Amino acid sequence: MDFAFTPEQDAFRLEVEQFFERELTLEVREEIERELAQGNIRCPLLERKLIESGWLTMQWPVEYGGLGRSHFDSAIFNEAVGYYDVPDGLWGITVGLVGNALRVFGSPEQKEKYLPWIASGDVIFSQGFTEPEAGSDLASLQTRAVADGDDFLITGSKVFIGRAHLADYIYLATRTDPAAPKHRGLSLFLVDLKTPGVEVRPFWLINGVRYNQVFFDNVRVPRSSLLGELNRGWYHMTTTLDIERSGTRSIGEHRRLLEGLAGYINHAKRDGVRLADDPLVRHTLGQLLVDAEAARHLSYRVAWMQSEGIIPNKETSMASLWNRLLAQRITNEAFRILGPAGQVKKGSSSAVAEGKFEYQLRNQLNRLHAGGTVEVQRQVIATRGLALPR
Amino acid sequence: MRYEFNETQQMIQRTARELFEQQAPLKLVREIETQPHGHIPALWQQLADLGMLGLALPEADGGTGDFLDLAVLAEELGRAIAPAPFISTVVLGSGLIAALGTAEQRERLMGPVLAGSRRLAVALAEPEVVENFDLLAATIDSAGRVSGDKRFVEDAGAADAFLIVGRTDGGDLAIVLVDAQAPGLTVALEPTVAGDRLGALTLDQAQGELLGRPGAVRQALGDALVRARIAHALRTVGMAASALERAVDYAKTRVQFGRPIGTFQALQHRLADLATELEAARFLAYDAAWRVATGQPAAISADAAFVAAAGLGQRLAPESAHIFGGYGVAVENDIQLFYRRLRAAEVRNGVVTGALDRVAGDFLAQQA
Repeated sequence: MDFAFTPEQDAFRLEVEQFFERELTLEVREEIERELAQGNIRCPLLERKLIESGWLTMQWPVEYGGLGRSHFDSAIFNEAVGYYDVPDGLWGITVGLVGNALRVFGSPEQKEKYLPWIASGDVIFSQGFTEPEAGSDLASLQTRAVADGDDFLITGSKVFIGRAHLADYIYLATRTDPAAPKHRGLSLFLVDLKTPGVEVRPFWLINGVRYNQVFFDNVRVPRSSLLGELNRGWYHMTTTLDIERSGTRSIGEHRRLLEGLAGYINHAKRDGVRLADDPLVRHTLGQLLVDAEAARHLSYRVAWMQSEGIIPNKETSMASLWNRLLAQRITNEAFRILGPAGQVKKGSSSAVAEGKFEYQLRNQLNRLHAGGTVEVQRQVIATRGLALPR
Repeated sequence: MRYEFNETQQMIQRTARELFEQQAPLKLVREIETQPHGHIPALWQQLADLGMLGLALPEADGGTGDFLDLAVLAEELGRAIAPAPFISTVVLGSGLIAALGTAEQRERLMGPVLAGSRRLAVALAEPEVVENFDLLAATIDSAGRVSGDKRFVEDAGAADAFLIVGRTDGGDLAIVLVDAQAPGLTVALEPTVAGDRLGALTLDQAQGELLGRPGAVRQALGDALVRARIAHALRTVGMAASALERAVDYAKTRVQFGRPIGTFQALQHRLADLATELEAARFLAYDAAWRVATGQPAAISADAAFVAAAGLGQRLAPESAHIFGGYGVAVENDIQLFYRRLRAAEVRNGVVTGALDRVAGDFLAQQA
């Protein structure tokens, strides 16, 4: 058992932290605010710098525009992304999901067309999986893609689609064989969102972020936009969805929120009592800190396993489950500690901790379902981890 | 970075597991609950013969290995709920003698302990004091005579000698080694929920042997308690792992309504949460042990490990027992052996509120 980082890892961490300290200028922060006011979590100014650093595609082999860096370095980078609250405009879906999907099962032509674009930050993808009637039961999705000569005609609708209003393409899951058992009749397409028949409508969330409903009305796409094998879409999807769950970003987020909470506690006085002297406040904070340190281990264990070429299974779900539930607890407990000031939105003089926790009240519930519900993760731990019978 | 054992640690785990399977089967563990001495002499001797009683002690005193090696053994002790006064004797007792004793004392006192012929217990707490040493009422004079009341002494029934912590006239902390048979010492053994007995000591001018110069005791005691807290956290993690395994196995085989109860989502989700919490506690404990082994500050990590381990007592313990339904509280079922020990573990070798306070205080100070 050894929990030390190597000097190289420490140096990389420092490099990344210094990058964000330097690049999160007033201009950048203002752009982040402006975008957020429009419902977008993005920052083109910062994204440009990140593209230049090469870090967004750091894990890709050099021939694809990457740096050939390890999973571990990616984990270190993601922790900093979480700590500095860097808007994830590009790399979650575009690089992390689509970029990796292309590398694993894209055709040579698709790789040649899209990968350099992705690496240079010149294309944005959105993820088109979820439907009004297909959430956790994703395999039951109904959007149809019907073969028509050399093309496919796509009809159906998707919901909870982030960035569809900003994106160039949608990474779309469709049903191509309705007669087959549900998991065996799905196919993936990369669809140009400017194709006639595509309609994007806003779907706003309470955290102020704009998601979308995307409607497809006999949208004609060429066969070359099929990604991977026909009717093998489910197996492709579940492969790439495994890569997506790293978890160290949460570690950084927890630390940022706990530092914000500690900052408040250190200065606040209520009814004559310094909060920093209140045993209940200290005990609550203490428990959150213990849980956050545990979270760090659960996440870095996954990073370590991947760096050793061991495929994490229950370990990824455990880290994710713990992180998500901890995020709830941090906000819930902080909100209690902040008292009435905690409910005031950022910008008013009564707001505290930069309105972070008011925002989290509207944002944290997403953590319970985004990328799969916590219930599904518990199922994975129970069945694949503990081998409990289905 | 390595989230798994190295070869030495694997070997210690294997050796310990086999040893406990042979020398501390649960049938014997149950029997020992009726014995005031509370341990298995044959097991203790085997641990001595294997060199395990010298783990993480200075080489000069006959010790081997580092604190991570000790951590692995502690976890296995927990898995088997093997009755052995290991933390008391090795981590606390020998640790304090090694840190505070003169060369002559170490030469004379450590040998029999490592050889398995002398067991130790440490008496620190009092009726009104658990963590604030400056409030200890037991008095120790310059001739090594001690008077006072000590409580909650683990392994008192097995101890041949006690390290009593008290204060001098001048208010300095002092430690004196008192033989269990010494005149002026009365030991009452108080049965606990865990099936063992804690010592309530009454000392009236009992004659002992002073350990260490007055100024050196505080630091040495603090360090020893940190290590004991970590070893205790690991032992607790081991107990919890055994308890959870039993609960999971039962869920796979117990059939009701025509199917194993482990197919019901409510149980699957509960067990998934417990398994995750166990992993979290395990790594916090090993992280603290790694810090000790690599000479880093470990006090706050020890507190964090303790809090997480105590959490296992509060949640994993009752929920594991509950998976068995009515059988969870049946004497004949083994799960209750683990449940009762996990509960006691919440309040030994640490106090959750104190630990939480220190963890928070440390962070608030950093952020100030």
